[in-house]
Amino acid sequence: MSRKDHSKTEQIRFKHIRFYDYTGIARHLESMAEKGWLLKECGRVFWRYEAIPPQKIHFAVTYRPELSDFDPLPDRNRELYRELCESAGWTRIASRQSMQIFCSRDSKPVPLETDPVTQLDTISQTMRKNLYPGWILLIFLCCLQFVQVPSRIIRNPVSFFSSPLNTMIPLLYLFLLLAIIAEMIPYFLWKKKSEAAVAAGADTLPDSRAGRGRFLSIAALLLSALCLIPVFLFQPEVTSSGVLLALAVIAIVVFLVNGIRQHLQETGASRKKNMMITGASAVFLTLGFLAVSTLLILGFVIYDAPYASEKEESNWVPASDGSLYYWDMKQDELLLTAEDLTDTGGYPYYSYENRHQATPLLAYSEMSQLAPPVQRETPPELEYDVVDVKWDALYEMCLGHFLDDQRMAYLEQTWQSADASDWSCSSAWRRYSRNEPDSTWLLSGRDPQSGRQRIAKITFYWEPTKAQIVRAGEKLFG
Amino acid sequence: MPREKFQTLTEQMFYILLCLQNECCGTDIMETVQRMTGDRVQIGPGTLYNLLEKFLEAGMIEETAAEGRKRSYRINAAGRAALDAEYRRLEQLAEDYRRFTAWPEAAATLRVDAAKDKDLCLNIREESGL
Repeated sequence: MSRKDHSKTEQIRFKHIRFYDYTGIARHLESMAEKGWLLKECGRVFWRYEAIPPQKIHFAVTYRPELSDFDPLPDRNRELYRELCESAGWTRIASRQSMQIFCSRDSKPVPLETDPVTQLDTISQTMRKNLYPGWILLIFLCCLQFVQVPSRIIRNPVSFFSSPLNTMIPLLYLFLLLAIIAEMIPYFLWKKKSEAAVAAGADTLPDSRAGRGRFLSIAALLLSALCLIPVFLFQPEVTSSGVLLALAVIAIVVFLVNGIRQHLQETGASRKKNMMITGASAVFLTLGFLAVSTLLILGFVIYDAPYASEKEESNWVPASDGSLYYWDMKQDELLLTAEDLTDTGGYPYYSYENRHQATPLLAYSEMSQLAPPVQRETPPELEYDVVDVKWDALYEMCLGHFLDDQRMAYLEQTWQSADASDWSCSSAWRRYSRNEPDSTWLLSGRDPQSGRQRIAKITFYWEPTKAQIVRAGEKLFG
Repeated sequence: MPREKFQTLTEQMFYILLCLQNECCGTDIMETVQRMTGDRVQIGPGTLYNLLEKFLEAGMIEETAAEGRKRSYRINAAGRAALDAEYRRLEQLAEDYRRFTAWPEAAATLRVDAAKDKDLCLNIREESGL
């Protein structure tokens, strides 16, 4: 994958070769040189090339595990290494962390590395220092995710299976784990092969090219990135402004931290001092930007309602003590309103809220019609949750989540069977608090439109009549 | 069976230590080894750098001078001991070959060739200042 710069003297390409694949890197660069491109800079993801007359150039990649981006410049050891290589006809053209890339225009240059024992040792040390920590950390994070999934499902299956974030993130980590394994296995196989070659007295190490393994790890990484798309599109809490803000904060922090590191490098600060100051600045800058972002959001400079109400009004509502109360009135569409059941007298200050999230497995809506809590006489209010089960295998688990709610025992609440026929559904339970019936029902039936299993938990803030119950049942299950 | 660090020397390690019997800088080591071995052994700059660092760490050589990017080294007592030990090991190998080879005539021919090379070696020593 490549994109041409408008000046046509430079080219930027996606870096698709493994860090330790020194033979693959050299072959790739030789091929590029024959096409008229010479490597100028190697970044973490993209490599930059400059145009040259097509020619035959030899390339070599070496690794020096003791090198670090935190070393002061100029570094005596780097200069000595460069001096030795230049005396043998090799010119350094790019470097990144422990990796250095050299080129030679001699027809038969002396190879940079001629002792396979030492070469294998330096590559192994470099990998241990540069890649093992990242691999171990990522594997740990992936395993941590997988370990948490069962307990999160048990704790609240409705919230878990209806949330794009909760369902996609474990999948993202699974693909990430596959990508890491696809990177690790070829390296350890090559290392084993090299150790055997060295023990048998070989003059050179085996070819480090990993073949199809690289393709697999890139594919797994792409799939893990694709898992984020449903999260960005459908997770209510993830808003476009939030994502942009997060990306901007990350970019700014990375830029500033890198600048601090480079400045310390150029002013000769020791590696230890550089690492400490750079690390501390990363932590403080991140916390600082997070604090500023939070203040901005709380200060409503950037305000984007999580559940994206179609129409939202803010009003100052008169409280019973004569003062004014700030009341966000939402105007979401609800399945059932108090007006469907009773006369609300045209009450003007209702907030109709529908917090909805859905995946291909489950849809969950928390709907409410509430009045501001500062008036002496409150009109009829409603709160209800509706769960639409798209995958039948989840039905029993979701129903069990409501029936076996642990908090109910603490509040001395129980469910007792009720007459489902009034509700036009298949099963009904009424909640009892300290053996007295309250105005909360749990219902199970079918969504009239889709035919899927539906579970509803409804709380009336008044004692409903039978006619009101029948009407509510028609709205929810009729 | 993997080599333990410096208990047996690779060819490259052996020739580097041999060169450093006299003070020598890195760039000269590469040329000298090539001349000593008739281009049979080549030491790449990357390998040379790594081995010099390892010898310094192991206390087998010492840095004698540093002028800009050039550094000079010299073998010390510990390095000489390792070199001598490797020479004795190689001699033992050669002796075992002569004693147990199925082709004693070939072994006799090798001895004659070694004598002829002796003059060549003397010339190289003089040129290299060793």
